[in-house]
Amino acid sequence: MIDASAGLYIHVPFCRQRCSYCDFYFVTGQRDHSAYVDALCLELRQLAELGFAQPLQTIYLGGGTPSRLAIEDLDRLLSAVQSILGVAEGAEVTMELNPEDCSTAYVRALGAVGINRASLGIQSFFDDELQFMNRSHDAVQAQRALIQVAEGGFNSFSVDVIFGLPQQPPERWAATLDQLTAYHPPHISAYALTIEPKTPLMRMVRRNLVTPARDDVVATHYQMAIETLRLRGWEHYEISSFAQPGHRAVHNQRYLNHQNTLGAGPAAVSFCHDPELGPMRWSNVRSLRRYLKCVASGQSPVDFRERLTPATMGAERIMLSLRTAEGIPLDLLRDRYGIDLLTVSAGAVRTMQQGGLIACEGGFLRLTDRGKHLCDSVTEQLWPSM
Amino acid sequence: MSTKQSRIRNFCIIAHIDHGKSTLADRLLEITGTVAHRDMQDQVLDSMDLERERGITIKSHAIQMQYTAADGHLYTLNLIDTPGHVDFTYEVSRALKACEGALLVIDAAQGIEAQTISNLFLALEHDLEIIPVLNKVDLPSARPDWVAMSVENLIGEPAEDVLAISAKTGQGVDTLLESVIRRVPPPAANSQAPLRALIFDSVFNQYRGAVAYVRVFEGTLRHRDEIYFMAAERTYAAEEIGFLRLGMQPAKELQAGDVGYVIGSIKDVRDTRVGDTITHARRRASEPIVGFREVKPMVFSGVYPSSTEHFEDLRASLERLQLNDSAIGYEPETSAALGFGFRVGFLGLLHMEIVQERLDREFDLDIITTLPNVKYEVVLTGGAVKVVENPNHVPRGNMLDHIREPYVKAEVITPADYIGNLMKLCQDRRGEFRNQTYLDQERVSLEYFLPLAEIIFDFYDRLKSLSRGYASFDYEVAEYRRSDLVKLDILINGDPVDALSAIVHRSKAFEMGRKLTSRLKELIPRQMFEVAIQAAIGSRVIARTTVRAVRKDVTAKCYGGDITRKRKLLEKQKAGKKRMKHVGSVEVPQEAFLAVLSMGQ
Ligand SMILES: Nc1nc2c(ncn2[C@@H]2O[C@H](COP(=O)(O)OP(=O)(O)OP(=O)(O)O)[C@@H](O)[C@H]2O)c(=O)[nH]1
Ligand code: SF4
Ligand SMILES: [Mg+2]
Repeated sequence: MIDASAGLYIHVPFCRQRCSYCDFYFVTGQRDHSAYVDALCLELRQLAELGFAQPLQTIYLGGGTPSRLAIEDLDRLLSAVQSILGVAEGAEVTMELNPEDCSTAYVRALGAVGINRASLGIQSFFDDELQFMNRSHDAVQAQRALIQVAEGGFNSFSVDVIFGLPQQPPERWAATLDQLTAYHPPHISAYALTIEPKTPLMRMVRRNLVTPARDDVVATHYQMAIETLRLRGWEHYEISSFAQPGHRAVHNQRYLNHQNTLGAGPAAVSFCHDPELGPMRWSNVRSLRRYLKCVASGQSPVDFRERLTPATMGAERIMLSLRTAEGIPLDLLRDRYGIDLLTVSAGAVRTMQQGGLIACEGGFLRLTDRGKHLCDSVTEQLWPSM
Repeated sequence: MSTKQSRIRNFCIIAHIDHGKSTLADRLLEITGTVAHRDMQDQVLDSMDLERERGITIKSHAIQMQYTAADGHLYTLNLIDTPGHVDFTYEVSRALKACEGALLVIDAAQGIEAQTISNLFLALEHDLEIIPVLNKVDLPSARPDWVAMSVENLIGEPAEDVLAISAKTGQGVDTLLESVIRRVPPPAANSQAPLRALIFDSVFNQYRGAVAYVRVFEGTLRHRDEIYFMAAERTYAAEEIGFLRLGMQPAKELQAGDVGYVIGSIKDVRDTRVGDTITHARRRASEPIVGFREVKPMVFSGVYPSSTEHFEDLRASLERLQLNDSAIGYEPETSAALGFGFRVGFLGLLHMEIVQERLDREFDLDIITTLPNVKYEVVLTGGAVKVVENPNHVPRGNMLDHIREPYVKAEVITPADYIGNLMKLCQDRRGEFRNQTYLDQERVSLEYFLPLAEIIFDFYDRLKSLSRGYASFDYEVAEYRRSDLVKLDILINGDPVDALSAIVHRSKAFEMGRKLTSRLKELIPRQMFEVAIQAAIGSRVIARTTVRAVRKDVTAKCYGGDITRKRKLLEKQKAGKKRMKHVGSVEVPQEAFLAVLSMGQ
């Protein structure tokens, strides 16, 4: 049975400055935030008309930097969500925060407007690393924000950190992990620095100003994260996510499970099972100006739509489930998408099993720790030939 | 002899490569009005794209001209322009067979070169009237008097009688034409005898099928005659016959002495074999004309379609190509790495290159060719001899006693200044010095015995660069000799890659192994597992490199928006790998094969 519930992602495309590695959609500079919230409210009505299941099981405010919004704007926004789409009892409501926006008063006030989970973008505890990444906060602000969030009264919170910076010595990364775990965040997202196209970082690499870390160095850092965090009580439940028992991020798992998730704001992506068309994914224009114009004139801000065939769904399911600790549900893959993975990709499965990259048990095919380093290659090998 | 026959002259133009045969043909076509001025272009007979691009003649081209000579009579001239490159010597010998005379063209600036001599001897063997002619006298560097002297030394033609022309400007070409009429004998032929027509060439025409180019030696062939191919033992109707003008010009009959074409109701292209004799089905000749010495391919290589589904296309293309180019031979073979393909025999490396290009262009086929090798004689422990054209067919272990390889007798002609360089080159190539003779004060002929395998790679290029382009080179296969040869295998993660096996001299195995493995290391992308690349002789590994495994390949973030993008990225990667060949579980890009296989060339 396909789950008919829905989640909601709200994109807040405002940042103080551009982090060097970032390829998200955002704008910098002075903006009229409350006008943007008005526009979001209009889009929420458009989304409501689509008639996907409500109330919402999860809400996620991401960015950009949602903490650029004032408490009043957040209050207005979440009230609108509540009245227009409805929010289920006990829903996870997450908001991303940047350290420079945190104050004790601000963080405390979030609970009152309905945020029950915070996700804090620390990235590093070292000033030189933060500067390299062009973050808009320093190490001291990072520490302070972490304490504020930890004492902020949330049900749960998460901290983002980045590893695999150019010339980052392993001791540095070990120290970052030590400091981080000392605060016992219930959830940690540890990302390898990725050099995305069209980012300032990519330009620096192109101009030979920066030499990316070698893949074996990054692999060592990643392995260190996996082992250290596991030893200290965090479960490695998704490629980049670690959680203490009971603190997995519910919203993000909706994507991995192909559950209905609406997106609001420029560049936001939605995925829903349409009763007639089947699984659909669409996304909004990647321009704040055009987004505002569309929504104000009652037009849809969507500029890309795709209808996912069973084969594509199956391929995505392999790709997404492989990221999780449980792995790929083989029965589901066969029953729903007609892919009998152990047969169609028998050769690849055998080679990778023998090579210690994957394991098969209890009807699931999952990555071993070694395999986690090569998740993308494994995915591609597992995919039935097209 | 009829008057008509007495006014026929069949002759060909032979020379060392680039001495100006095709350019001379241009002038002859112009003077005789065969090609209208507006249709004229340089080397007009070199009609294949490849010939025009490379500026060389690959195939002989026959064409008929009408010419009113100084004596006031109208003559029919059948001209065959021939290629100069050593790989295509067989084209020359076929052309000679259809002629009574030959123009031996010598570049007045370069002087006598290796193929000048080898083609001269071929013509003498056929007992042709030879008219030596010095070309390119318009060049400031031309030394006609000096070259004429060496011509006199070579063939005894008095130096002062040797004609000097410029095929480029046309200077002296009229005189040359008159001397063709005067010196080349008309065909001695009997039109009443039973028909004997020799197929000296054939081409495949997309619309007409197989077209046989023939020289009628005896008898008369008429349109619609029932004809019999003596070697193929097949009967057909002569659906169309005619003369070879710039295009094909149909005619009612071809008489003894004529050169023309025949299109039969020939279904199977393989029945039109160059060297076969056509006679009448009813009134058969008792003996065929002694055809050509069968051309034997000397260089062999595996030819595989890039994608396996094109195997049958490749077969059909080779079949057609063979009709145009009877020098190629092919047999199906399989390779673990490359799938189904053919072992194709070529006359030399240029020939191989040209066949590859023709397959690519004329038949639109993407192919992979393996490292070329010569034909070996493998002597087994019992004394039995096995002929091997594919390195993988060398028996393993103690079955093998030793291997013999073909040696050629090579003649290098060079200005004396470069003797040292060239002797060193021949020595490096395991050559055995035989003889040294001075052609005149400046030019020397060196005679060497060399393993054929050592000259099929870049020998010619090296020779040219070591002599600033002045040396030339010719060879003929002489004998098989025992050599210390070993089979060099390339192994990827322990699996031998049959397509990369080679037979090499022991003294060169290490170097070759090192080169091959390090090149492969550059070309095989890093994979999920470490890839070991080894070169081995039998079970002894002589070179080894490894391609490190990818240590990290994982997308850090995979959010809602990223899913489609990420999926597409992976789909693209996966599609890219479809073109990879699998060796065990290692994915080897096609480019790696191509690059490694073209390394030697
Ligand atoms: N200056 C000058 N150049 C000439 C003359 N004859 C030919 N050439 C040049 O020499 C080159 C080779 O001429 P070709 O006619 O293609 O020679 P070829 O003997 O047919 O060459 P292959 O068929 O490849 O053996 C061309 O660049 C011609 O333009 C001449 O009389 N004078
Ligand atoms: S704060 Fe976040 S969204 Fe903004 S530039 Fe930095 S990484 Fe990108
Ligand atoms: Mg030519």
